[in-house]
Amino acid sequence: MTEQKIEDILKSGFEKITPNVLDSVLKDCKEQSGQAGKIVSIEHRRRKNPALRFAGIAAALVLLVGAFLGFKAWQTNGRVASVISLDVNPSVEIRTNKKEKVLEVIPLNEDGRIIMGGMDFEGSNLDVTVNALVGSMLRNGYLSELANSILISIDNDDPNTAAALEQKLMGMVSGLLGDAKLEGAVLGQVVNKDQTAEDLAKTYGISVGKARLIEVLMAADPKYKAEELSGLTINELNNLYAAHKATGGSGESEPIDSIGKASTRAYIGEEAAAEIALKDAGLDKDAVRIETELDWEDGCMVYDVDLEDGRYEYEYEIDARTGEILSAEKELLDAEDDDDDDHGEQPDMNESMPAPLPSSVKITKDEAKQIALQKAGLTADKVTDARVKLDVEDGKTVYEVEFLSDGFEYEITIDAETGEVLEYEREEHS
Amino acid sequence: MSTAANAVSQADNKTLDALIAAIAEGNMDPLEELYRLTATPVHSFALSILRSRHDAEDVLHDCYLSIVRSAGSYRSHGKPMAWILTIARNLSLSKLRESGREFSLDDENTGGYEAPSDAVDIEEKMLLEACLNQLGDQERQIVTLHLTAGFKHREIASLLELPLSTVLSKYHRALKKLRAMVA
Repeated sequence: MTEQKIEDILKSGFEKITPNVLDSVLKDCKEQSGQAGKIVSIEHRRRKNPALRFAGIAAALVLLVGAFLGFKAWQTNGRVASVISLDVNPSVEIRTNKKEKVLEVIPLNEDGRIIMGGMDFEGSNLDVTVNALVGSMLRNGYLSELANSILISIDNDDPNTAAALEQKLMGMVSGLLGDAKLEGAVLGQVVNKDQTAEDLAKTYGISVGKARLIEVLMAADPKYKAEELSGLTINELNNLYAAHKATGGSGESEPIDSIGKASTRAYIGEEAAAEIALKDAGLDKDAVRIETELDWEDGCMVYDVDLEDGRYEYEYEIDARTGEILSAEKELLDAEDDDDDDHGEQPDMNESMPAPLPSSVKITKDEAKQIALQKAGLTADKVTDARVKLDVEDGKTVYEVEFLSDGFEYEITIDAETGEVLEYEREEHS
Repeated sequence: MSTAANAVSQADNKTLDALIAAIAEGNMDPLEELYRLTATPVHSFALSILRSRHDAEDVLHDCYLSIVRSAGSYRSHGKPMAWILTIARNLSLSKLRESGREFSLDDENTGGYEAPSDAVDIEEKMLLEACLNQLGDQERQIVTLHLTAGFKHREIASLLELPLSTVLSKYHRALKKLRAMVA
């Protein structure tokens, strides 16, 4: 059997085994039609945690017995009433009793251990503890002009107490940062029994608070993956959160309270990113429509810059820290006529690829490689595994040049007729 | 399922973008069309990750609910299919986690994936089962993405976060394997 035949059979096989669930999807959509089209952060199935229910019963029993035997203060004083997590990149969890006395502080990551130093908080007031921890984050450089965001999450069974605590701590931390001459960005939220976030937190070893922020971001953009976002700092997440709020957001009341703006000083800024893209595309600022957005892609903070000059659309991804162009694409805007689509036919992997018209090949393989190297700012002796392939893409005959250099993989597509660079991609080689 | 042959490769991005935009406005009619054009790749991709008929069907269902919910926040980067398949991938991976499986089912536990005999002919059944039971995790995913979504190797590389060269070599190796199996 030929490979082509195998592909064809699999294709039709996959089509035939696709079950039809459309009716049930439509039915479920109608049921939530009140919400259709709105983005709600993932609905939390509030599963009752059996352990907590048991704790509730136990607490009731203790109270009864307490009433009988005379109330013993230490019994309630030793019980956790609130869990407060502080995330910057250091993450710590503070457990307090009803009277806001600290029972314990648990570091959730290595940075958390560092900021705790040898400090012992048991028995201290919550205010004193938060003050000391934020102070230590400032001293150790975790909170700075480059990264000014901190997330405060409160878990307390009583929503009023939780909300009051959130307000109080947000105000306090914001004041502390102000005292340190820092324009801080403070995020606050109440995270009572959010099962999805708890699962995420467990999976990635992060605080429930950070997990919930990630959950909100993933609901806003399904492209994001929890395993990647969990490695980001709150400042980076806060920037993504702000970007999503700016481009529409949910329109709902925001699930997370926010004071101040996340620092973008570690980044080159939207304007600089746009300039880099414009220069590379050889376009004038006034002649194009520009859209810039901070995003997280392929493991780093990037500016997505889209340019449109009426004829072409350019898509750039620019490293937000270094300003380096990570990828560039140029596409004809009016694409209907030439089947220009990313998943139309895929001649590049099929044996039955239409042969490139010889007349449309005006440059040689070597020239194509030279153009590609020049675009990448490299010379032939700096690259390995170079491959140059003639291909037909979107009805155009192109050279696809691939090579490795210094741990990066380059893929550059060059018009075989004009030598124009149509696509440039550089990514870390794993 | 009467998916038109090669529906996906005919559906261009603009069509899909327009459908998603209409869904975002709360209109449910375009959902049928979107489903018709994309259900096979979504289901196949989920199946290639999960290797369970039941779980893949769940993901197929949840994926379209999620599309309806998130359509409002979708920003076209000209890659609607990648967006849809990213949703399918996230749902599949959380399904794996939910069921406590680190990786997809292995044949010893389940006897492997069995294609429904009433839906496919014998050749199709044989190849589907060979593809889903005998290929490695990444090979399965690469093959299904290429064949059902019509993804190019670089699109697959970016969706699966693999180097381009890996995708290329795995695809060709997978086809060789399949060829040897059915020889």
